[in-house]
Amino acid sequence: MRMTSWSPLMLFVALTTACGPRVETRTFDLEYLSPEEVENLIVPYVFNENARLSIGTHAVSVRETPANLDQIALVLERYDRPKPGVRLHFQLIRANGSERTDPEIAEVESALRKLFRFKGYDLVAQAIVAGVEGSQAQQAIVAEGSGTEYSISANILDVQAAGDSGTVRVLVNLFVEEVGTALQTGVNLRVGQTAVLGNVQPDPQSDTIILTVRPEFVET
Amino acid sequence: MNCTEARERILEADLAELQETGDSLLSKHIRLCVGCRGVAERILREELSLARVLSEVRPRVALERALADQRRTPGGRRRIWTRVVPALAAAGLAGVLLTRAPVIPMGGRPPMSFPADALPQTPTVDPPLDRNVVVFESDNPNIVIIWFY
Repeated sequence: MRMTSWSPLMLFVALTTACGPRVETRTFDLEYLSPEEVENLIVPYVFNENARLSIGTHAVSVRETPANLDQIALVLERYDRPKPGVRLHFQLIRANGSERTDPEIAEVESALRKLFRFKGYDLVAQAIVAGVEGSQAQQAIVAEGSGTEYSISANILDVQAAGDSGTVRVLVNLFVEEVGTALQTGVNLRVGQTAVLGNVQPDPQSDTIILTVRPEFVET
Repeated sequence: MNCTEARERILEADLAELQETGDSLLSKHIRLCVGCRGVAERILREELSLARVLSEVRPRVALERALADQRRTPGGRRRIWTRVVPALAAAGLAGVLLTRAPVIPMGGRPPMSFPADALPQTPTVDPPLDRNVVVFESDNPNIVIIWFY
């Protein structure tokens, strides 16, 4: 008699244990994230038995527990947004220049003076280019004094944003008239951080040129 | 490329690929995948640490061995130099710091001094193929000096 009364309960426990937690399927629309980015973001939330994940170009379907689906929804809402535009500030600085400090390069000059023993530093040209991830921007500039023509190009390879902060990976190319490419390098920077790219010497007779680059996010 | 394939290839990849700047499938994957990027960054850090230790212990032996290897395997030249030259540079910097050598002005080359708080950090930069790089962090956290030589 006692065995009979417990049987339904045991059957229920056995069934729920065998089936695992309740899962359901939900499809999320995607606008900006790539399939690889989506995978990296939501795989950590897809782990239960019977969970499934199917990623398309503009949507992702997930079979998971309601709680995990809610978490995935929050993650996608936070990150599936247009990436910000990037504005890159370039400065060309000539080493062995004036001993007078130029306010526009004061911070950079202070850092350089702690490392190098050049007599001074002159700002010879500035440029600002803007773009978005995957774009290329270029600007020609002429150095004050010498009249040397430079061309700065920037390939914005990657933009990672979280609120106002983030990082930008950019491939920088400095082209000098009648010399060719004087510097080409990739650098990954925090937004607001200035990279001082040093020791560009277009030819043995010329002064050392230093290129700085600072990324900022801009509204697109 | 999925993470399993990427992590198999990471172990044999050229350092330039690990620095996320190449166009290979592996570089693209590393750029996008946080987990694999972490593995790649760890390998790069270990490479740098290993180079430093080698240079501090027996730089000349390391150089001679590298040059001998280079002569035997011309195809591996770039990879060898990417390891040995930073190691020797680190040894040189360590020497300057330890001996507190005075700064000597040089002709066309930038005369350098190395304060203790400006030791080279792990590069966040992909240098040009024919040059090496030292990365200095300054007192100002918003300024990083990347010097090619």
